[in-house]
Amino acid sequence: MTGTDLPDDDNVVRYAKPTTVREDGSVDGSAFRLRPSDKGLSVNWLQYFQGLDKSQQLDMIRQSYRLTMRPNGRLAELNIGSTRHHVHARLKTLRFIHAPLAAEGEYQPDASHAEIRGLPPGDTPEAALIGDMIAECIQTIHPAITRQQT
Amino acid sequence: MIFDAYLMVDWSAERRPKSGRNSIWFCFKHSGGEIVENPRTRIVAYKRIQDLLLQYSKLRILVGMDFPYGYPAGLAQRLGARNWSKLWNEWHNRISDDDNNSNNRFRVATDLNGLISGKAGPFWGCHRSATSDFLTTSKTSLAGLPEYRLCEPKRAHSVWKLFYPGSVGSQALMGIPYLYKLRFDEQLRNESCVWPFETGMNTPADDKRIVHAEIYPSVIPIETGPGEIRDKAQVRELARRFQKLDTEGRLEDYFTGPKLTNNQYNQVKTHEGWILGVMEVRERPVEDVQVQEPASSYQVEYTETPGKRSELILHAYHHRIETLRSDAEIEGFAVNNASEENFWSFIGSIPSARKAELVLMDNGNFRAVWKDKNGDHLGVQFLGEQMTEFVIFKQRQLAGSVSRIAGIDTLEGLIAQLQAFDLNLESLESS
Repeated sequence: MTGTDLPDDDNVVRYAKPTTVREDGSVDGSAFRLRPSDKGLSVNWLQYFQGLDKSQQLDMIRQSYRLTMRPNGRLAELNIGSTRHHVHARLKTLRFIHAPLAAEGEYQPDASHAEIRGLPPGDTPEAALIGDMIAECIQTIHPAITRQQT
Repeated sequence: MIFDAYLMVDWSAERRPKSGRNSIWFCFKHSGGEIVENPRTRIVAYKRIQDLLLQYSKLRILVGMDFPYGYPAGLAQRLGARNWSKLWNEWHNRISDDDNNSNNRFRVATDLNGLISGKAGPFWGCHRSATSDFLTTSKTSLAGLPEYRLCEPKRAHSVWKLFYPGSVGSQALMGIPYLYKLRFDEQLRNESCVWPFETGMNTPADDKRIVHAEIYPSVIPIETGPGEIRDKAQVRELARRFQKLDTEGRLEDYFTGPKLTNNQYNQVKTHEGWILGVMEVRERPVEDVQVQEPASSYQVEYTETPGKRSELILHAYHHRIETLRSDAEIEGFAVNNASEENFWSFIGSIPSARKAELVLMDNGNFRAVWKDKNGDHLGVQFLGEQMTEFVIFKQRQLAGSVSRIAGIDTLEGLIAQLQAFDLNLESLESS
């Protein structure tokens, strides 16, 4: 349901552009900073797709993603509860909100879309610090494009 | 008047002894007369100029040569050199030139390209026989470096271009070593200086008898007599022109130059230099050269030799920046060149630092991250204008906690922060 907080046990993935993926394949904290005009950071909620295994969930997310994923981009997976817990001492306002996107023009609906809310403005040092703390919580990094898609 | 004499030199990168058109000419003008000569080789020219500077030991002399004294900002750091004088020293050590003008300039350019980019560029242009994987006859990549210096007029050729009509790159490679020898000559070093590297954009202080300054003959219109060789006319007219300006008290304005931002001023004074008489700042567009496929599989092989390791790290950074630049272009945004310059300044100030992970932010700024297995962490976004945004995570062993801070500071301030947190970039490395 739109606007609801996602469960702590669940996971989200965030697409990281190639420019924010390090040479060792890890994702930099700058992938978790807000753009100036945004209030929330886009992620996708894996467990929205109930009954599917993780690779199927990821495929669903890849199919509905609205921007172009690049072969050298990555999907960074975060556990909601451990991420919130990790940054809590520094940032108590962090929330993971379900924010599905309706069909729009050429775009299909993106029902698993969610947002990380409560982040500091993206152009501040605090945003850099929180971004690096969130990056410490990444559990798994997945390819943005699978071999079948290339 | 500032000077008593004016020595203007039209240099040449000829590979054989030559006189007449497109060879070395100089004019030495003082109140007692005017000497115009046409030495057939660089070594003869150098010795003759040295002799004149020693012989006229009571005169304050302006010495101008017509090739770039510096390179676009970023090159020195790329080679692990901190400033113009280190680069001059490097050129002096690498270039060989014999009594017959036979020289190794293309070989040196090949080696430098290998160090700077690991492929062809930024130096380009050569005989077909000198081509290799690292030096090509046409422009390929500038390795992320600006094509022009801030002082270069629009009609000027880039210092990276080593061959073909109008090029000045070879003159610089073959001229700077002699300039280095003149500036740091045992008998002349204490009374010589180079404008603006050692003086700032100011009239040089009186205690320096010999002032070296880059000239660009096309800055002033030259009238040649019937059948007269243009190079000869240029050095003569330049010497007369500078004497006239000095007599009229207008030469000081040339040394002051145009208004520069702080960042531009630092680039000019530390790396690029300036052309005496140029009063406009060249705008630098986003580089439009084709960037070749980056070597994504490039890996640094660490050795126990600090110098070698430092060289390899610089090499690896270059490859990484090329990759990021290419990725950014695909994503539709551009690299902030001021950020890149900032990054190289920082790296140049801590040559013993281990290699960082480098990423590019959506605003075009570079961000470097060092961390270790204990959880110590430094993230630095290079904002340009010598400013940084930093994040430090420091494990507190006794307290069992982590100190986390973030802020904005100058490069110098950041280094002070690192010292305060006892973070050592020699032990921190990329994750």
